[in-house]
Amino acid sequence: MSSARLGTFDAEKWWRPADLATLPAISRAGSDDAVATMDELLAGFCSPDDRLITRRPMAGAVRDGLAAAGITFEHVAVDGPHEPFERNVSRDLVTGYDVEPYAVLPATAHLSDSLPDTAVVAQVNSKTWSNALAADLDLPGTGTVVRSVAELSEVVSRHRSAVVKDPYGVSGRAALVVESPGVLRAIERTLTRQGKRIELVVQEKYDVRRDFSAHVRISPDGTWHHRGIQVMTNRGLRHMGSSPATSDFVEFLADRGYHDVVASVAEALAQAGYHGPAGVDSMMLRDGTLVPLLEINARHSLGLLSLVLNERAATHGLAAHFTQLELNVPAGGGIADLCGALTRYTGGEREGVLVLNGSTLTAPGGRVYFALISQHPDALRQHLLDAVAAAGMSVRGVAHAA
Amino acid sequence: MSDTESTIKTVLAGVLASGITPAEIRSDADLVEEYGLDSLQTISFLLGIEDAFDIELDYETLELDHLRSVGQFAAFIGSMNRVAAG
Repeated sequence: MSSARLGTFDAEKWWRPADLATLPAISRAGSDDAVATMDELLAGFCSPDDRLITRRPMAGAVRDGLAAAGITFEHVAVDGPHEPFERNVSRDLVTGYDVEPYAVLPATAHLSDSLPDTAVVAQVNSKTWSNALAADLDLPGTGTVVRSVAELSEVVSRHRSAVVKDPYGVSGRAALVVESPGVLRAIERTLTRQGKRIELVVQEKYDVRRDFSAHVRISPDGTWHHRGIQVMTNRGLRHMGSSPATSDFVEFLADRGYHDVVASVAEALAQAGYHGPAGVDSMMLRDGTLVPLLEINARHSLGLLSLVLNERAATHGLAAHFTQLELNVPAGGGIADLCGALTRYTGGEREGVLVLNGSTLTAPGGRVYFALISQHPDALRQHLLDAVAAAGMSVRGVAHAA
Repeated sequence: MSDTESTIKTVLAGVLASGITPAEIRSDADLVEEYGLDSLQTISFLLGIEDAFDIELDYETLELDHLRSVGQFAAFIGSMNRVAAG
């Protein structure tokens, strides 16, 4: 059966209990809009008979590029006044399809009777739950859950450098590094001012050599299968890109018992009542310690998208390297300018760049995701940067480009 | 360059953690467009500013669209100190 794909990318926001205090946060102009338009990335998951439902129309340059690479689907743009976006989608629009949301939210439940319970989904996605599971499995790298400002202060003071995480923060975000008493005091002030319930996970800030994630698919009957491992490129605590793990690294992880941990996580998710896609974020530290369970994303993820794109590329002897750029865009500029300057991937064995989103890209700028389809992507990375310049754009924070 | 700007650049260089030194940061450059400061880094930067200058920021009312460069931050901190002293 074909699938209807849709969903808001800031899922954690809709899982978070209303009575929970938040870490200090700011909102820059346009940032909510940028997240709202990430749903067109779901095109990368689509099969020809699938229906993709997005908030905004897709630019011809993006859609045509995907089609040239063999990624086709039926597209429907639906907008409306309600948040999250799912509330604007009627059940009629997905009738006859398997509903495959980016994440199962309370607002998704009306679209299908086959989705897991939203309370379960919210629970297993919280870092409190994954931290408790890691502790139950006696794994290294677990954090401490704190429920008051006093506890926060006490636990942070145990570490030279600590990471304080919102249990319902987007993976790798809504987490703050605390390395000085002044920063801790500022966080404490923000929490106290809200007068709400406190629940945070405090971990030591690890010296990370490699971030990676394992991806599984859990069926409604509780069986599951392993889909693969992606190695991530992170900047600080934020995800910047992913590439397929080498066979040597996969073998190394197998020798260290990593696959057994992934199996335990999948079984725990199934036992809790979850089914659907799930990613397990993990890391290898510089001292050789394997931290196999850092966080669980019981939803689709950028790592899973990267994996699926790699599966497509692998059928042609190529690989997909997922990356993103924050672009400064001149007045009048847009994604068509960039697409026009790129050697794009057009299917088959010839290397090229696949533009995955950007339909709403306009001045002053925004984020665009790409897949570099190649076994050796360094030359394509440089080509991408050259194309950005040729399109009259520039990269924000050039030191981190591609 | 004022001491305030120098301190801000030190905090910013630490947050960017890209190898850029405080001396390489321009006072008039846009923090987002030029240095790629993202939302998470912005929070870390603001927490570092609170710590370095012993001030309290109100995140809910902070107008970041007017605080886009080191120079603008320095003027903002100067005005906060004047209010506190006044």
